[in-house]
Amino acid sequence: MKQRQLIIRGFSYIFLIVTSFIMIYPVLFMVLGSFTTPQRFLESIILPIPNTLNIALFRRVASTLSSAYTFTLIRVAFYIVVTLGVGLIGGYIFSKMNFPGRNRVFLLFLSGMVMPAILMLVPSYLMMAWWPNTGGNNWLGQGGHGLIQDLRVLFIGGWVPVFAIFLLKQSFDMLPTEYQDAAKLDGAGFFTIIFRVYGPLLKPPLVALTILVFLGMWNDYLWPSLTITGTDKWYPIGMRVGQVMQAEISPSGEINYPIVFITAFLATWPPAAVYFLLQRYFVQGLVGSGLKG
Amino acid sequence: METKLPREAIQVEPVVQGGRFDTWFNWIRRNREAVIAWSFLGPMVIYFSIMTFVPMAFLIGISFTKWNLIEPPTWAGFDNFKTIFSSQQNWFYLKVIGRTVLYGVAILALNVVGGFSIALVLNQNIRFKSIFRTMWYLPGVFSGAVIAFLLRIYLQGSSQGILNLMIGQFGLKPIDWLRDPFWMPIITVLFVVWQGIGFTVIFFLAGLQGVDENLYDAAKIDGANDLQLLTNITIPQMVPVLLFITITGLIGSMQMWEVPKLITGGGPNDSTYTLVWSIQSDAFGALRVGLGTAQSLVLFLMLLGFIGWQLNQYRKQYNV
Repeated sequence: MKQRQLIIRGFSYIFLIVTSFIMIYPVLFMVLGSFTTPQRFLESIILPIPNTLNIALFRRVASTLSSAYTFTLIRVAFYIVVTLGVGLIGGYIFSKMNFPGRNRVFLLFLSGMVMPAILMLVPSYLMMAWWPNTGGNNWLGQGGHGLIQDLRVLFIGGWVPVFAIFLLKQSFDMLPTEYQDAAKLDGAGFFTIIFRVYGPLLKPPLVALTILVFLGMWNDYLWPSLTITGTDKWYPIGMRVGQVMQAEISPSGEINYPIVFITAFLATWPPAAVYFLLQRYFVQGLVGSGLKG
Repeated sequence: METKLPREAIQVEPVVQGGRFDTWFNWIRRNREAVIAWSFLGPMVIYFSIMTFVPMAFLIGISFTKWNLIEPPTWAGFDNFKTIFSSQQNWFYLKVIGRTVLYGVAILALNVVGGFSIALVLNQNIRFKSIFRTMWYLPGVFSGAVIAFLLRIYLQGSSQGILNLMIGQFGLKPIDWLRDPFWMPIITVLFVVWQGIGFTVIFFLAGLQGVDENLYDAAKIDGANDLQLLTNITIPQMVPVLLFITITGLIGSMQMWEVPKLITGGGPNDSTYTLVWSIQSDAFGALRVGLGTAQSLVLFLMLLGFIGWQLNQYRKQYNV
């Protein structure tokens, strides 16, 4: 019996090591490839062995990506603030306040989660194009291009983050109402109760939401690729990467090797870093139950 | 008979202290909570309704028109839907739908089976568990677009492409992956599985850790073997997680767009021409907006149908 368990254990480790290696193989290849000269790279077996740190190349790629970096980070910060702020207020209202119409509004918000965002792509585009009184449009939304090719189109959606409200409502439900009553006796107002009394107790779901928003916004590609194609100074990181990669493949299929890897590397390390730093909270906040690591 | 009251009979409240203003003020005081809640919720409801229902109305309305974005739209009745479900262009749109469903189901099956196996292995008393879990989740944090650009480089047809470099070491001839109608669908499916499977693993792991240990002990005393433990305890206990994974997974996998949009353009031989790509290329490429939105509507109804069917199946089988 003991021996059999040992064999199972051994096979489990081998299985995990092999499959995990396959999972991260393309990523590992990209990272190692960023530090390899082209000749060495083309001779590599299984994985390229790093032999150089070409800082000049890194600088060159970083300078082409820098404006996209800044712009994407601004967008990420904006949406983190909006999602956490509105999410906390909404979650508190639905969880701890009693007022007529509460359940009906909650159901209305939940119905929004049924509609996959991708189906709204074409109609949302049209709504932006017909936005009244912007981009040459009259009050009926006709005549101009509306918010298309306008910076604001990247900041106008998602101000009522339904998923965040839902997740935080459930977290609020698990905290006792007595805190609120005690704080009210001490004269605490609406915002104090939400952000000072309950806020610090909701760290895991808030961190999980921060990661989700960061990943979602950093990786956002489809919406900007339809709405701001013309103005490349406002390209988010994904679109800029596409532009650079396109330029580094010649029509005959020759690839400018370290550069494509360095570009991908520079575009992918921030989400990976955020995930590594905060993953403990991420799993906890998302799954709810205490997942033992 | 209507009786008209003389004007003097209507009591007019004085607008000063103790009058109308005061009752209004008292009303607010009495309903303080509702007033506060609605003053925040009101703008949220208005914003949400505009951002959700206006596009939804567009979606439904435009589906019944013929429109190229430039001239005003014209009413077309059910023409767009007839085009989708007709035999013209050799059943093109029905093939697109069938392909999307096929890939979606393949992605889901690989996700669930693979994710569950990994979660089962990880759920033992394994060292470095969190490292393995992180490695499995890692592809999910990357931008699908950036990874797709990278994939295009890995799949380059020349002997310089990385996949060709690798198989060259085994003495195999380079393959023009991007133009191969056999390999491209497989790669597309694997790409989506690769990105999404970590999510499945995390949720299955959480589910497995929630299973009551006593159930296993009781079954072991009754002499159950490992396989029986798995089929009679673990899997039935995982039904809620399974339900969640299949529904979110199916919605996600039927929406994949990275490979057709950024790598293949739907080719080769339309083998990666999925519904979401078809919606985009009809609406924004061919400027047949009505046809594009009609396809969105079809996809939405399909997803709703799948979810309903699935919930029903589970309810019948497990009395959830």
